[in-house]
Amino acid sequence: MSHLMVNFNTLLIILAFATFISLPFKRPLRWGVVTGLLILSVSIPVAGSNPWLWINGAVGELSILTVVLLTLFILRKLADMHLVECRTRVHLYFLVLLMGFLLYPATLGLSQFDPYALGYGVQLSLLVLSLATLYWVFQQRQVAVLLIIVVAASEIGLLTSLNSWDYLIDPLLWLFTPAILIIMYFNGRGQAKRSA
Amino acid sequence: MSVKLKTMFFFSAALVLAIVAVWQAYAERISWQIQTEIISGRTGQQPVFQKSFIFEQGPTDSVHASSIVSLPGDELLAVWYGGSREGASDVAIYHARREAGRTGWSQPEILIDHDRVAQDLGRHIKKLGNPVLLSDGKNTLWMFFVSTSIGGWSTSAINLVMSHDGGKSWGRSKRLLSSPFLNLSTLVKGRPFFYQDGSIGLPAYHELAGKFAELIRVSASGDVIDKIRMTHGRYSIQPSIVALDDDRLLAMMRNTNQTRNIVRSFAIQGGRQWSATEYTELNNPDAAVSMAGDASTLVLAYNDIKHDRNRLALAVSVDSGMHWEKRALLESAEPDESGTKSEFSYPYLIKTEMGDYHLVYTWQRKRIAYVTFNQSWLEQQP
Repeated sequence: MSHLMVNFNTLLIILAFATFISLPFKRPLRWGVVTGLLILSVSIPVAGSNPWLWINGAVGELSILTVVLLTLFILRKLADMHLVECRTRVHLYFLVLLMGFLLYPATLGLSQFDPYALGYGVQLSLLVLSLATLYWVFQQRQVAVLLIIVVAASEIGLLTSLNSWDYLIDPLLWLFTPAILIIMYFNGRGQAKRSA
Repeated sequence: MSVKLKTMFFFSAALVLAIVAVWQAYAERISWQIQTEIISGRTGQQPVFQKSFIFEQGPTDSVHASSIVSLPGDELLAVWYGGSREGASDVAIYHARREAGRTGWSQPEILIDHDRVAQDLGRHIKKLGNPVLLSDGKNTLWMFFVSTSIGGWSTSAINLVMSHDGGKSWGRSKRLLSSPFLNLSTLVKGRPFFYQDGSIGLPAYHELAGKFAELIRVSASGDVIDKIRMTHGRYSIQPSIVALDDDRLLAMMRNTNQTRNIVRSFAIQGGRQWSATEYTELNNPDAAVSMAGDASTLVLAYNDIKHDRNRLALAVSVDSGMHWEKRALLESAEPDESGTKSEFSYPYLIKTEMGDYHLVYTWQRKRIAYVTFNQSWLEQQP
């Protein structure tokens, strides 16, 4: 299960990266660029190892939220499928940013409290469910549904980890979030100007 | 139902869930009762002290970080890592066995190497190190060890490999997930122990942004089920933990700051709550220590010097670790004519069910030294 998940994650990362590289091209050509980069990723060794092993070694398992967001990005850019609203993604990215600031510095030893330990019990899942309820009440239902999916995946034990934090957030997502939010901000401004 | 009422209803539900969550934080999730080791001991013993090497000429130029475990039938199994140098790509984990009634050890053999770990974990592996062993007293053995994929030791993750036939064959390596940030920087050095529910308490430490000790709870099948931060700050690592009873623990730790004294912390509730760290009167040149025994007699192997690692000694405490008395000097050497310093380091001490102590340590990075002694010998030391 773990191997399958890690390799699926690596495939998703390479696909998302290839999709990003292919963005300057029109859609039919994008498919060609993505396919080409995917073939390159399995055929060119990096320092004697398959690049997939390097990515597996550096990243490991992605959180469920990252898997969902990467899948949505790939579907949006390659298949023109817009499954969630832009504001849903904005809410999720801000949530990820906040959670990362609460979790990572403290876990690495910058505080006496270790919030990561909370993820081994049910309390974090219950807190996320409470948050999902609030999002539902305040009409952000796609965010609520995605959070419920994350909690469900955590309770099922879809990933190797038994810690609920690992289903919600991972460093890759957190580190890219500021850049994604900036890109979304400028894209939004550009679209507003065009429509004006 | 009006929109206002609906909002209030959902708000109340969210509040109730939040209260339940906070309440859960204080509820018992897993058992924290420690399985204390039953040490029968031998009465009327003759003093025993033997010092030797596990091998005279090993298969590798450099060796380090050994550990040892007692197996059924008075057998011993020792493991360490060795290669052309620390962190080299040819480093593997080696093992040797001492059968009951024999004084010598079997020829060192590779237990697990770089390529096999990479294959088992499906990831690039750069370094291997710090193997520690645990036995259930029957045929199941757990060996925890660290590996890195990128960077130095501070980027390590812990792995587990298990044997169900007393160490004759070993299964696939499994990576423990113990840190949310790319699973970076959790290492092992101290001896693991059992809880009464069959799960394992694994002394661990972190050394990336902070340097602190952790107690990781691992299920018998190798999943991380909980984690407690034992210390804070940037100086206390490599905890060596001994159960004082089924509720209390004592940890003695390597100190990386300039005070150069061993750090101590006590725990209650099976390790859920740790006291603030204290400096002991024992020297520590930023080097690993190892403790074994029980509340009546605790024995500590440590480098009794403020700098370097050229003195290795034993200290004893008969008051549950409050006061320590230096008891024996095992190694001591001054730099040779060329100025090369000696190193006797990384002790790993166990006490068997029969009450005998077994100690392994790095000898000049060339050999693994092995020392065995008993309570009578300890009592005879001045």
